[in-house]
Amino acid sequence: MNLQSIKNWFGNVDISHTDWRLRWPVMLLPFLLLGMLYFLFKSNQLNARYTQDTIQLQQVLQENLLSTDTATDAVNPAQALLKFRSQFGKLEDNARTLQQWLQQGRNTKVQAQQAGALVELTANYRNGSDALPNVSFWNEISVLLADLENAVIRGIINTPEARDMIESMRGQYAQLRSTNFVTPPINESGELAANSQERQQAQLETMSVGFSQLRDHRAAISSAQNKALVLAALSSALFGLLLWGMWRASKNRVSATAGRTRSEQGAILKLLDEISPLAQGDLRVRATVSEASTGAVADAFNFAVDELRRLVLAVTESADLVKKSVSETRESAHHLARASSVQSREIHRSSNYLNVMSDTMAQLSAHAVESSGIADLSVQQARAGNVSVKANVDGLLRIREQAEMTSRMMQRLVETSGLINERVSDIQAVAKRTDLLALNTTIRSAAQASNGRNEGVSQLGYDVAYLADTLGRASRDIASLSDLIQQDATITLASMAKTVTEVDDNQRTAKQASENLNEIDRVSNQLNSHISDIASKSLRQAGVVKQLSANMGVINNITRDSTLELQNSAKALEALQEMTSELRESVSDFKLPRETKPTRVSKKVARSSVTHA
Amino acid sequence: MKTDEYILFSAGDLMLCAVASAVHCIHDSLTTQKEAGTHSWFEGIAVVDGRLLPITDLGAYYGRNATSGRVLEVAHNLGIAGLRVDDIMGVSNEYDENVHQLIDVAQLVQSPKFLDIQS
Repeated sequence: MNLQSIKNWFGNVDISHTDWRLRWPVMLLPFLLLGMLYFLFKSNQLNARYTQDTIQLQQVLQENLLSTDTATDAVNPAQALLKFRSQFGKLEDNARTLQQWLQQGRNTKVQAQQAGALVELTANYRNGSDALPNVSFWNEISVLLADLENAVIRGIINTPEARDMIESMRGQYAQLRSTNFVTPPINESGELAANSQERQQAQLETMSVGFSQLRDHRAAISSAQNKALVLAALSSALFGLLLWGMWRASKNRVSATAGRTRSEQGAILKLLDEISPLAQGDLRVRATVSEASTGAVADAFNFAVDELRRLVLAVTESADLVKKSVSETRESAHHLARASSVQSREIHRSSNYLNVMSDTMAQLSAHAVESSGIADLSVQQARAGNVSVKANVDGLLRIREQAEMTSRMMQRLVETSGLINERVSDIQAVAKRTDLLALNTTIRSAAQASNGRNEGVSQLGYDVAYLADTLGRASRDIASLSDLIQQDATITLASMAKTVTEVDDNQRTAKQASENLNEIDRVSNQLNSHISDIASKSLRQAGVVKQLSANMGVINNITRDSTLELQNSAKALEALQEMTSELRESVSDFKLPRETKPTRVSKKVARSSVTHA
Repeated sequence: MKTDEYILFSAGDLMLCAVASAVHCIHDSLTTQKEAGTHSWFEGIAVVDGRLLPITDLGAYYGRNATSGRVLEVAHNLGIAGLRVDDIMGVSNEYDENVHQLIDVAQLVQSPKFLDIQS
């Protein structure tokens, strides 16, 4: 319960329009009720204390009575102990019976547990030693009995059987407790009488004090109950006064509002007649604003109709603009979806190209590695070639030296041949002279023979001629051989000169080749490093291209998702267009005046649609 | 039986032969002294063993090419003359008439044309 609920409750009473005289009983009534409750609670407390004191006084009285009865039983302690145990068994039986009753009750579970604890205590003692119980044992039993008695007082235990049983158990407890007090040890029986008289005197004094306390409690309870009764009477009187005032106030209010209700009903009927065309969607209606209570309603209605008119116009224009924008946006979404599909295909194709490029880069890297090996082999071969060229240069140098030596020897041969030719010339001259001599001799011999003499001269002439002829042939052969030797030697010299020239050329070429091989070595090393660099970069590039291909795949997935989203957006835009048509259709039933200016909302919508476009 | 010896030689493009007895001897490397007012076929005068010997170019004399070889000294009983020829092939006891043309040296050196050296 909060403040609002209290106000609502008072609102039901409707004391706001009643006279102020009806308010003070309402304000005073809670205080009176609180005072009455306070005195009832106090009297209840005093009553409990009164009951407790009564019980204690009753115990004291029973102890006094038992002390006089047990004085004679003390002569036989064994019989007294047997009787004591028998009484304890009765207490246990009663407690067990009470526990069973309380367990059957709906709100007496706690008291059943207390009765069970009482059963347990008594059973433990009865099954234990023969000694008498101590003071703490008695206090525990007394506390459990007091709790059960409080439950009886609070009304938790309300059955008469249980109440009688608890009262009987209290009596048994008092009897057993007094037995305990008056049972003396066997060897101290002589002092029993004196102690009993002193205890009885003390119990009498206690009883006197208890009775005086009972009287005081009783007086206080009576006072509190009287005060509570007075406050209850006052509260009843105030409540009656409040009901009477409320009845009077409601009666006056009903009579005052009856006339006003009739005039307002007429104004309401007129207003209903004026605004009834609105039910068919006619927004051209206007309500008459008068002095009656419906004037404000009519004014508000006219304002509402104006706003509704603007709203319908704005809805119509907005629906048209939204339909147009949605149509354009849907076309754009279709275009985007198609472009996204093309983009997806292109990305897929690019991804394939990238894969091919990656493979090509890997092959290029492998080729570069192979080329590096080839370049290494080229370097080795260039070095071997350089060594071979140097060996060739040395060989050419040796050939040149031998050729020069051969040239010198051939030169000498030519010179020698010249000398031979000179000698051959001499021989030829001799041969010529011999030939001439032979001819002349032959002519002489012929002349002499013609004269018939000197046959031996003729033979000599023939011999000389033969000699000259032989010599001439030999000299011609030698000359021809010498010429041949000279020609061969000249040719050989020319050849050797040419050989030397070619050897020089070859030597220069070999040196150039050696330099070129050195250059090839250097270039091959450089090429090897470049190829290794290309191989490593190609490998890295292949990895980058592969990663790029993977990224292209991710982009392709995103693009495909975007395409699906765009297609979904196009479908959603179609649905929105249909909804816009439905919205336009829904406001088409409204009838508007002929001249209606565009509203601020429609301008804003139009501006926003232009910015979107 | 007496057989003639023939000396075979060439002059210009002519292949000639003559009786060996008509030739006194053969000279080689004679130096001639050209005489003015003589025919072109008259080569000049040469000194041979202290004697003057007129030399005639036999090829030019026959109207053929000039000769440049040895000189045949005509037997003294036939006349005093030297015949410049190109090559002397030798002395033989026979000749081929189809190849060599036999000349009469005595008739040659005694002919007025041969003796008239003045041009």
